[in-house]
Amino acid sequence: MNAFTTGGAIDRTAYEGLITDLERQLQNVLDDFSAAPSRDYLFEVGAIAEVAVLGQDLPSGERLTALMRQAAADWSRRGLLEEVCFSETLLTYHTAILLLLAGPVDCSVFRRLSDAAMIGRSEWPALTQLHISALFRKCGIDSTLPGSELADFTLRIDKRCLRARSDEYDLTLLLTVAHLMQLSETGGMSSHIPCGKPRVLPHLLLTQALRGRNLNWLPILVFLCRRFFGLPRDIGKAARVMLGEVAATPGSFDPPPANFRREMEYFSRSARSLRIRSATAFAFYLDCCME
Amino acid sequence: MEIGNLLTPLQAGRTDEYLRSVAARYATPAADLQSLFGRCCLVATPAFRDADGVDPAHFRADMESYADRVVADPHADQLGLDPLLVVESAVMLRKAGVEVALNHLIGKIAEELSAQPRRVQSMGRVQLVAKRLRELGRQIESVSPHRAAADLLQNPHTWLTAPLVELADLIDHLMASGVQLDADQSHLLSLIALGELRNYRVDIGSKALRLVIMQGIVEEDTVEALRYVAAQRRRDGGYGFANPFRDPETEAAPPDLGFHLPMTLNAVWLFHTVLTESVNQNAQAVQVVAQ
Repeated sequence: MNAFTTGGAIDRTAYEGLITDLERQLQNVLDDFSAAPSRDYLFEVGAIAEVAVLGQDLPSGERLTALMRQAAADWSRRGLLEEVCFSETLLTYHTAILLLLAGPVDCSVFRRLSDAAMIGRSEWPALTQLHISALFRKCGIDSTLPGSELADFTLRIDKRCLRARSDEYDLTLLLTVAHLMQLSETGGMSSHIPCGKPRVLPHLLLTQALRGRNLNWLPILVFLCRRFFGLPRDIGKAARVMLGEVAATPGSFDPPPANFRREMEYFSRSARSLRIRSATAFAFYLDCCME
Repeated sequence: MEIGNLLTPLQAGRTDEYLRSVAARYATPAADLQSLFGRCCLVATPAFRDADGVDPAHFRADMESYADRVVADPHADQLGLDPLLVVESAVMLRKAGVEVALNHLIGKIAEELSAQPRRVQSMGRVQLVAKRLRELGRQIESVSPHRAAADLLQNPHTWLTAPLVELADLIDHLMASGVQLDADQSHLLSLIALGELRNYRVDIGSKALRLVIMQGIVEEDTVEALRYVAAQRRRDGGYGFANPFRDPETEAAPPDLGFHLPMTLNAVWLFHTVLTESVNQNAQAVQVVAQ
C-alpha cells in the first residue's frame, strides 16, 4: 500500500502499516545483536540508530526509538556497550549513539575509561588529515589544516559537490552534520560544535537520488533536507511524487546499485539495515509532512 | 561569487593545440568537427583570440577546408555530423566579427531542415538549429514544441525525473524559445547540471549550465558547476580526469575520442558562453570575475 492517496494526502492505514512493519523488523535486528553480539550486527543497529536519533521527537520516531532505547539500556546494564567500545576504537561511534539512546544509565565505567583516554578518541581521521596536510605542504601545496576545524563547516561540506560520483561517504557525512546541528540546536552544545548549514551538497545529492531513482537514499535525503538543510519546493514535490509511487514498506528501499560503494572505511552496511534505515527516514518524512 | 580565471589566454593556446592534435591523430569527420568547434569557441572569444597558439587565420583555413569537403561529399548525410555545431560556429564567428566562408554548408543544412516533417521540426534540437539559422538570416518557419516538451515546460518538478533524452529535448526547447528562467528553475537546472557532470554525463550537464548562464539566474550552485568543469583541466590542455583503474577493454572508444575531446569541447563552449553571451546581471558579474 502506498503512503499517499491519489489525492496526495497521507494514507493513515499505510502509515500505520509502515510503522508496524518497521517495529517488527527493527526488533529482529535488535534481538539478533542481543542474542549473539557481533561487529556485523552492531553495524546494522548503528546504521538504523544513526537515522533514528534524528527523528526521536516525531510520532513514529518515538515509537521506533522506544524499542532502541529499551534494547540499548539493556545492553548498557549488561556492560555490553563498554565492552564493545573498549574492544575496538572504530566501534566507538555506534556505541556512543547507543549510549545516548540508552538514556540516563550508569556511565561510570565509560567515564573512567574516557578520563583515562582509553576510549572516546578516534585519532585516525584527525591523524590522516594532519598527515595529508603535512605531505601536501612538503610538496609545496597549501592545504586546509586542522587548525580551522572549528570554523563554519558549510563550505567544507558543500565543496564535496566538486568530487566526481557519490558513495556512502557523502550520505554519512550529511547524517553526521545533521547530528551535530541537532546537538547544537537542542543539546545546548553550540559552543562545542562548529556553526554552519550546508545547502549545495544536500540539495545536489537529493537531485541525484531523484535523477538516478535511488530509492534507498531518497527518503533519507528528503527527510534531512526537510528537517535540517531546507527543501526547495520543486525538489520536494518531485520527491513526494516518486515516494508516492512505491509501497510503504522497508522492502521498497533496496540498497543503491552495485556501482555505489556502500562499505565505509570504518564500518560496513548490510542490505537489511539499509532498507530499515531508509524506511525509518521515510516514516519521519511523513511525520514532518503531517506537522 | 568569485570563480577566478576560467581559462587564461596561455591555457587557451594549449587547449587549441590539444584540439588540433586530437583531430590530426584520429582524422574522422566527427572528431574533425568537434575539434574545429572547440577551436571556434576559442577564436570567437575576444579574450583568447590573440592568445599565443590561437591563430584565427589557421582556424579559418581549416574550417573552410572542412566545410568544402562536407559540401562536396555525396554521402555527407552519412558522416554522422552534428548540424548544431556547424550553425553554432557560424553564429559565434559572426558575432565575434571573424569571417569564415560557411555559406554553402549552412545553406545545405537549412535546406535539409526545411525538408523535414513537422514532427521532426518540433523537436528541441531541431528548433534550436532553426533558431540559429534564422539568426544567420535564413528563412525558417517556426513550429510549436511537441506536446511532451510543452508539458515538461509547465512542470519544473518533473525535470528531476525526466529521462536524459527528454531532459535534453526540454533544454533545447528552452534555449530555442529564449525564455528567461526564474530563480527556482535556474536552481533546479544548476543542480541537475552539477549532478550530471559528477556522473560524467558531460553533454547534458554542460548544456543545462549554458542555459542557466544565458537565460537564467546564476547562483552558488551554478558557479560550483562551472568550477567543476574548470577544475577538470589536464596538463595537455584537454579536459576531464578519467579513472585510470577502469578496464580499457570495456571502453567503446579511445579515451581522447570518447571522453577528453567531448569534455574539452563542452568546457570551452561553456567558457565562451560565460565570457561572451551572459545576458543577465548575475551572469555579467561572473563574467567580470572570470576575465
